[in-house]
Amino acid sequence: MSSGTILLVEDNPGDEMLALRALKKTETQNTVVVARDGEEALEYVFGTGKFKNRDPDETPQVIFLDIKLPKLNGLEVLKNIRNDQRTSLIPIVLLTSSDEERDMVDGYKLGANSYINKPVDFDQFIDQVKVLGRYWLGINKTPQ
Amino acid sequence: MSYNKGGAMMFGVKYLPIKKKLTMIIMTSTLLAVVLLSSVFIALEYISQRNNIIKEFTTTSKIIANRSHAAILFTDTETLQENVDSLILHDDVEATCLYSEFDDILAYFNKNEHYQDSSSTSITGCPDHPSRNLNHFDERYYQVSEPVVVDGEPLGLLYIRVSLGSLNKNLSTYVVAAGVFSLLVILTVFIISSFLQNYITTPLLLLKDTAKQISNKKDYSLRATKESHDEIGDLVDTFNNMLSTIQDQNQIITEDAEGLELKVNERTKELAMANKELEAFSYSVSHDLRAPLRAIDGFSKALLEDYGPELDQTAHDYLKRVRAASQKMGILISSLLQLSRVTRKQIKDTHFDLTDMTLHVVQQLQQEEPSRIVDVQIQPEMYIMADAQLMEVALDNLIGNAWKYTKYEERPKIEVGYYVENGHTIYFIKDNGAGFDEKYAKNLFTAFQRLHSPEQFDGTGIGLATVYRIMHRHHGDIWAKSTLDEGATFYFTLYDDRPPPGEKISYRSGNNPDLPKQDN
Repeated sequence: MSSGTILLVEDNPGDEMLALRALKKTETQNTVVVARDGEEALEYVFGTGKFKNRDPDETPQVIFLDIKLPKLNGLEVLKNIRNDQRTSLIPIVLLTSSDEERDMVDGYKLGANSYINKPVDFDQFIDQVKVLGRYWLGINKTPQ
Repeated sequence: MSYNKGGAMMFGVKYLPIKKKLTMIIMTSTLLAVVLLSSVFIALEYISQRNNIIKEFTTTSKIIANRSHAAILFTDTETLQENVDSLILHDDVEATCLYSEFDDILAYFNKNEHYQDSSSTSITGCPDHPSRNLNHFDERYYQVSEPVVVDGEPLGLLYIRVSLGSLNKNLSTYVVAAGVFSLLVILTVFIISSFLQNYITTPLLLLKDTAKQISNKKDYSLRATKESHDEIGDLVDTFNNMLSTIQDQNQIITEDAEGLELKVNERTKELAMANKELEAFSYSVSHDLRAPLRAIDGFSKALLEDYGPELDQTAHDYLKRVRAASQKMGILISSLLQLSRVTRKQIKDTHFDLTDMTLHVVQQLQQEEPSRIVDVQIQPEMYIMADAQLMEVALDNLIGNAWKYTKYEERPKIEVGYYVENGHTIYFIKDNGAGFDEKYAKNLFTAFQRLHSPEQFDGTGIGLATVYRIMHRHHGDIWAKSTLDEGATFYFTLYDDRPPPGEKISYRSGNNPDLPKQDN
């Protein structure tokens, strides 16, 4: 597995803990950065605000993005990232509770690479995270 | 033939305009009156002139006969000729003859040498043997004879023939005069009646024009003008009253319609708002309700994993129950969302093979429970026109149910197919599972109504409600038949295809599950 950063955008601390726990179970070596709202996610990606000391050229290897977020929702975050040339190619996986068709359509239209519906069953969630990690951090190739 | 002709004529009169009908009535009556009057007048005139002629010549003949006594006795030919000639100046007298006792002509004159008669052979124009009491009228002549008698002794006979030429001429003149007079009368009557009949036809025509205008323009504010104060005037008043009534009623209807439209708009707005709220609600449910459940399940699992060894068997059991409950809640939420989505989703009709879809659903069920052996029979090539996404949800539920309720069967069997009943295509899913008591059948398609306990068969009670909505969104229907412990059959139709109740059933094609199988 490559050593890039995983950006997890998740406002729910429970979901965050569980996601981290699931990622830990997949024995991933990658650093996981957590942003708790849309604004923070963009600050991280563009190296502004709280993250002004970060080099925005070091793009995360994959972003796991929730849709329902405080301040700026996931779809707006997605739009901002896709609209900037520096970040437009970062793989973004929408990882959300919603199974609304509308969210799915909007997500793909705005350039999401994947849309994952978080299951209630934690066992299933772990399986999903395992597959996601293997694919986005292992199999999938992105331009440097 | 005459009947047909009469019929055609009556038909013609029926379709004449009122103006012409009135003219026809007036003209016919006038003509009849004039002709009758003239005829009576001419007839009376003729009779009176004829009587005058008879009276004149019977008297004249008596006088001449009387005057001729002596001349006959003394054979005074000269006097006799004088007596006869006394009539020569009378225009109408054509011949006068004086006979002896033995019908020898003693004296005569004859203006018409061409007179020919069966009774007369000589050029005298006198009959050879005139009758003694002649008093005869024919078309052209009046003939009269008078015996010359002295003391009862016959001496001879006087014969006078009068031409009726002038009488006939007069008659012709009368007829012509009557004709001219009649024509004049008719012409005058025609002119007068043409003018007078306007008193009847004008108000009628005005009324008709107004009625026509109203019917064309649908303008009930128009009114007919009252031209006369007779029955037609009354008709105009009644007509106008009717128009007022119609106008009032129209106004009421229009106002009602406007009110109704306002109400509909209001309701539509309210409904749209409610829909939007429902959508927002289900969106929120979709996002927010699952996160806590995930936490409950996830942390229970974490507890089991991280602190498992320190917990006793009961604690393990409790945590497992917590997890099972939260997972069930997760399924319930998904089902509810699906139910609400089925209602809101726009129908996109496509043509597809229901057989393929059924096969796919069965394969999925088999994958979830690889150990189960179920005899599934699917009729090939069931092409339908429907929303594929919704139909898959429906099949998931219907076949999923059949799969679930046959789990205790020794030889579980599911049959999917269709049959045609009186031109209606009916699809069915039949199983030999637990079935249900038909007296509860009406609860089958109501959300959260279950006919089995969760210990026996797991379920949310939302599946069939969802299927019901899907079928009704396709303007179809769904119904079921079952005997407890002997299996259930679910039937559905799409697009108003269900036969009306009581319609006699005839099976034409497909495999009706209610009929014994035919072996080919």
